[in-house]
Amino acid sequence: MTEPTWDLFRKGYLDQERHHDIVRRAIEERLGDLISDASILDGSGQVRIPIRELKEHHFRYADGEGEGMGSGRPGTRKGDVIGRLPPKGSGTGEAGDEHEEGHYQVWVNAEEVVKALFANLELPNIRPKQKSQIPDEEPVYKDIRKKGPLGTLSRRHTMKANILRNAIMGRPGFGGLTDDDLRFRAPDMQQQYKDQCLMICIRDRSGSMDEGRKERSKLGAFWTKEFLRSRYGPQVEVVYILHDTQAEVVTEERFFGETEGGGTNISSGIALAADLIRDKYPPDCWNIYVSHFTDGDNSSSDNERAAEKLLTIAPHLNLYAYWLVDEGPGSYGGSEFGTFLRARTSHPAIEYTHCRSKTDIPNAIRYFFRRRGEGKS
Amino acid sequence: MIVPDEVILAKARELGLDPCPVEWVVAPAHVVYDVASRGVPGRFAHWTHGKGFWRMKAGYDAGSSRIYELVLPTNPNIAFLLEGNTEVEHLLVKAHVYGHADFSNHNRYFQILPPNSHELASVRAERIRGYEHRYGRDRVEALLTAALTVAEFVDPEPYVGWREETDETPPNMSEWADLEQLGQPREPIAPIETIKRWRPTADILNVIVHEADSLADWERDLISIVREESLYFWPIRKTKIINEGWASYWHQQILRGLDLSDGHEVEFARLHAGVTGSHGMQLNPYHLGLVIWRSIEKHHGREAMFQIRAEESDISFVRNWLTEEIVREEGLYTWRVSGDKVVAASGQDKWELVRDAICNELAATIPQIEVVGVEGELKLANRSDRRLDPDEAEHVMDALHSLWRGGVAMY
Repeated sequence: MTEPTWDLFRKGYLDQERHHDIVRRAIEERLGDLISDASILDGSGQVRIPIRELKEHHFRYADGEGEGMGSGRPGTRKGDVIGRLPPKGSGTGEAGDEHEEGHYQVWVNAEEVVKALFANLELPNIRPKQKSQIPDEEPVYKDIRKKGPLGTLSRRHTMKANILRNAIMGRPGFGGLTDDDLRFRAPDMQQQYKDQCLMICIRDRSGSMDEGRKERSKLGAFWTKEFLRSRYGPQVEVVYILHDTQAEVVTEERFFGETEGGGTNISSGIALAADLIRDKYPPDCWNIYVSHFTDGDNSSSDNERAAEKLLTIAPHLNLYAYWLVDEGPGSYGGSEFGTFLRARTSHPAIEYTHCRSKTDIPNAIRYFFRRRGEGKS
Repeated sequence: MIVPDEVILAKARELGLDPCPVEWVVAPAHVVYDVASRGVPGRFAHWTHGKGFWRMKAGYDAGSSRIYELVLPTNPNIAFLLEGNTEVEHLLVKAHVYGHADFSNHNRYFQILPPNSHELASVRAERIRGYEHRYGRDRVEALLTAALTVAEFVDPEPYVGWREETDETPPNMSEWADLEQLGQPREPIAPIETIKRWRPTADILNVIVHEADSLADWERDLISIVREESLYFWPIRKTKIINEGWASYWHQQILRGLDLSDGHEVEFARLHAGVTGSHGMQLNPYHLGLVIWRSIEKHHGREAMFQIRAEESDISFVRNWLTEEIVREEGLYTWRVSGDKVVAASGQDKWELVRDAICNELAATIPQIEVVGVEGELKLANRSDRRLDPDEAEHVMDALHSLWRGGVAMY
């Protein structure tokens, strides 16, 4: 009997990785769909996607073409009822069970999704700000030293040192490298500070904002926040404002959850944002991004007031992103605020786009954070 | 209660079995399940093997399934035993394996296998690793995936393809023409017209290997590897019921002969029942095989058994030896879904229908598809009156298109 050591026998696991790799690639191709999956809003920052294993395809006869074979039923005659099928969809309620045949779960970080989808975007209207007091986590390698781990060797500085030494010795050019020429980068001991970022999410909670519009608003807010985090780090400050005819600052939970009834005064939301900026977030310290989600159905007497208020704060904003969350032309009754706004002004910080379905969400984010200078798309 | 191998083997021989030598390998689950998913240890790396491994291993880890043993019908047979089996499990498994070793040593379907299939598999796997290195893992993987869709359509018969045939007898000549012409001056015989005819075959991959024009050498090699290795599974697929039944019959005889004592009979009986029990609405090949073998022993004796194990496959085994008595005693039936009900399609009132239905189902495990032509396009025909699953067929046709690099059609 042979009993070799099996510890090094990894073939099964290696092929398992091959299978999982292909599945992962397939997920990456589908990342765009994930953005429209509201399950990410559970706060964990992770999406759990049920994945079917890869299918092996073969010629086979269609279901119902053949017969099943059974045993252990003495006395069975043709036509006897053996049993009933469970009603469709029952029984397999927990599609999440990791061991259920053919299924498994993959967790994808919101961060990874942002990285894959929004890699080429940029932040608009950046102006120098005072640095925050929040230390940057990443050390910056600025200092050059003569000793250090080989991994931090600076070729440029090493060559420079060598050429300099050769020149002193009267030999022009590079050559005869010695230990003394080696130069290493060392972390700069001075703390770096990151730019501060404030995101203000304003959402219309009036009666016309139905479930679909609300969900798109929430997803838009979530992914904008994730995008800003990917650029500014986790310390992005977020303020949530809900408004109908009145506005109030709410928790994230309420922002994602609440609907009320009643009319709309868009100006109330903008005015509250303006107050916050004036009182708490001085624009010379903060990069400020406002995302305003509304179906635009504003009381017409309010449009003028809202536009004026917006223009007073616009110079302090990096971006005012107006998300028109509707289903297309004609889906609102009154005068649409965005259209009014566009006719009135073309301030560079004020941007406007439609979000008519969930698939518009990534496109909207791409539009708001597009590379400027390439023209508006 | 450790029973040495020699004792088990001696008992098997005394009972008339003639197993080829068996090499025992006791291995942990991740090895046994790797071999199970690959079919042959060392076989090429591919995601399909990884998927099988992951699934089976997950079942094992969750405690819902367990592979006790796995035998390769090579010479010697290589038997993998799961580490951590109890003594009684080991004993039962070894007796069972000697049954398989006798079967593959004598059954005619196994005689097509080269005795060193497993060594060949490693050599080929190495070659495929080389191709991955040279042509890229993705290309190799895609080609293997495509070829594996039709790997089961394999035929051990030598390849024919185009066959030169003389076109009927020349006109104006009777059957006796040569005799009538005896003694007369010979006219110069006109050259006999031959025409090329396509010999239909189920061996799709072999046709591609021989007839596809634009395959690179390494691609042709990959496809032949998939085909050759699939041949290895051909006898195994054809003899599931007869072979498992045979091994189950003999493990019981051997253990009975070994005279188990001190309570081990209970564990043995429990294990044996677990393996050979009825699975209700699904056919358990161990169960059906065992009851047919017992009936053959009862009515025809041991000699007939040895003869049958040498000659037959599942379909002929069921067709020839499933009897009314078995169908009644075991309560065999077949069923169909009708609306939300499962209804008996055949039952013990007409036992022949049960037998015929089982034979039909066994024959339909692999659809009856043949290559009926290669001119212009790869022409396939579904030889059965059963419909193919259209979605699956579409995927497979795409795969074939990628291998054939030309039109593929199903008639």
